[in-house]
Amino acid sequence: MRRPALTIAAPVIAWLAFGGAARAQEAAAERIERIGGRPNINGVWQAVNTANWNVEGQDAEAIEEFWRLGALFAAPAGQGVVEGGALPYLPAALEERERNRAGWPESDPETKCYRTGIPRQNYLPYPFEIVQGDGDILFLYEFATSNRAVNMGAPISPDSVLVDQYLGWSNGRWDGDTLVVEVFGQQPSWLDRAGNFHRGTVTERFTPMGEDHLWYEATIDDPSTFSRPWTMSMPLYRRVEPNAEIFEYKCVEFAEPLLYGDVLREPIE
Amino acid sequence: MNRIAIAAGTALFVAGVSGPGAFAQLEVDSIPAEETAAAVVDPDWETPRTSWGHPSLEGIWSTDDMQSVPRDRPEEFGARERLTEGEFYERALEDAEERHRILNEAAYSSRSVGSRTFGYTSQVVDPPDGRIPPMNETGLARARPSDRGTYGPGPFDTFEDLHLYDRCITRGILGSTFAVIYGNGLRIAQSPDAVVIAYEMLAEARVIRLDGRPHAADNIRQYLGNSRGYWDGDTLVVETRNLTDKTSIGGNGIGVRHSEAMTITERFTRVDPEMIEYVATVDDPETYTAPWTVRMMLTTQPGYRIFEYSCHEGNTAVRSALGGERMYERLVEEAIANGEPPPERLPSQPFLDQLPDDESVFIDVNRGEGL
Repeated sequence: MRRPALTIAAPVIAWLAFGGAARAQEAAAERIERIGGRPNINGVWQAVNTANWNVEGQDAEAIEEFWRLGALFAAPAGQGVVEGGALPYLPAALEERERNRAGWPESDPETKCYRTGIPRQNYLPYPFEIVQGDGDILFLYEFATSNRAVNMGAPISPDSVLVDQYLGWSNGRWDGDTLVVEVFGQQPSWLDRAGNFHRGTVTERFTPMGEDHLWYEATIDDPSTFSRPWTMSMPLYRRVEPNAEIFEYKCVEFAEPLLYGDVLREPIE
Repeated sequence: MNRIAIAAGTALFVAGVSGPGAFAQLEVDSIPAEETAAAVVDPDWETPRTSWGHPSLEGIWSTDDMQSVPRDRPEEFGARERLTEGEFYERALEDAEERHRILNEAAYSSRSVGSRTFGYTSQVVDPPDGRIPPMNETGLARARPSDRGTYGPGPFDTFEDLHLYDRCITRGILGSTFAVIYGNGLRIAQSPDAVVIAYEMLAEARVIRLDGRPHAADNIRQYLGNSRGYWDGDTLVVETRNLTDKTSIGGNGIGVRHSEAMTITERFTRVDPEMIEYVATVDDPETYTAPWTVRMMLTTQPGYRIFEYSCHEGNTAVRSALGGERMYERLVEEAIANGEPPPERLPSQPFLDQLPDDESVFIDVNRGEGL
């Protein structure tokens, strides 16, 4: 079969096109370690875990309605990322989670190509890029070709913006070498494909663990949903291939048959 | 900006305008904004730099000041690139009146306005007549009805009969930059290895890599292409290829459908704390009879803030257009069944032809009333 051969060859071709190991070493040597006295966390990052399937962890499982896809699309097994295990839902919120779960996949914002909110946007199965200079820090997400600016100036207050956003409003500051981002004003967001959700504020911490890893923590404070604030944590991995970059995943086109199938000239059943 | 320069000693024209039952004074720019740029007035001016030494383009910019500069030069100007003093005063007065109307009189701020008046006769600077060259035959053959957006004739059988802008997918590079009714902001972020342009409307972002790597392989095709850049002195030069043949060139990407072979070369030069000169050359021999170049000034606007443009999440246009077409089909079937003549199919947005100056119409439309 041609396809496996191509899969192996492509990175090698890219490596040669880039000029090979010498060029990569040169780039690493040129890399500025600190910007304005802070760690340089520029780069393409990606979570490699099953948090987007279920932040509480799960066994591998078939997805009944996708039977045609065989082993291509089933839920993989994975451990949870929530510190302390299960989410501390209030009783009514737990019922809402169960309703969300029963309505998956149609009711999941990810299915509709909606921005999935913070923290989920950071552990979707797509890379994202951090762009850090002297001012605000930009997060560029491959999923839905979306982005959010982390304001590094005087904090934005809820009174000054008035409206919620799908990715909220982000105020950032450095705590030593850790980038701390306080997020408020989000639309209610799902945390995963298992219907877990929140409608609170999020405190994110990005801490470098060497050049190619960030330790990511997100603390969610939402008294309307949970009995106490709780924290999830996971590593984020640098995409170290020399030609790493994020590409367009303009998933609107993939969601349109689902969203508008009933009003087409030839409706999709 | 030029009003600061004016306060520092140059002349400021003041004109009167009678609003509804009131008389207001307008501040009218007396000299074209491009002549007030720091790089023009101060021979010692130096480009601001990032902490790692690159020219700084960082910030929130907008093309709102380009709203009064026509994209294609009106033919009567010929090869002349600048307005005369009298022509400039006329444009500056119109700008001031429009600004006053939108900011102080309109019931609802349905469009954005700039804060400076430029004296260019057109945005297109090459060819010398300041007009985008005609399409060639291969270009004409590529055009699609959907390139006109929901302003087009339809019929809307599937979402692909709507424009990529109506579907919240893309406006293309130039479509994201030409000034339109609102949402003309763009954020430029910089790192040592990249410059990012994040456009406000549709929230599309491009990463321009500066690390010397080649463009992505030819089989990678993207709506906003694949961009590589380098510094030519204090100017950022960006070369973009790997484009699709699915986007079009015009405001909001509504216009001429280009080819996959198109390349765009852009030059960004900071000419003032509040201005970037942006010059883009479009080369697409499969669409146009000649390459052409457009210049837009990216400027700051007082208090400008970029909100998340959650276009797709809030999109009702696609469902409305498709649903409306299905409704029309049912009405036709019913009429035929009843032996009556089929109803007339109205244009998709008939109110656009009859729009009075009264801004309240926009309020009704935005609330879904009167449609």
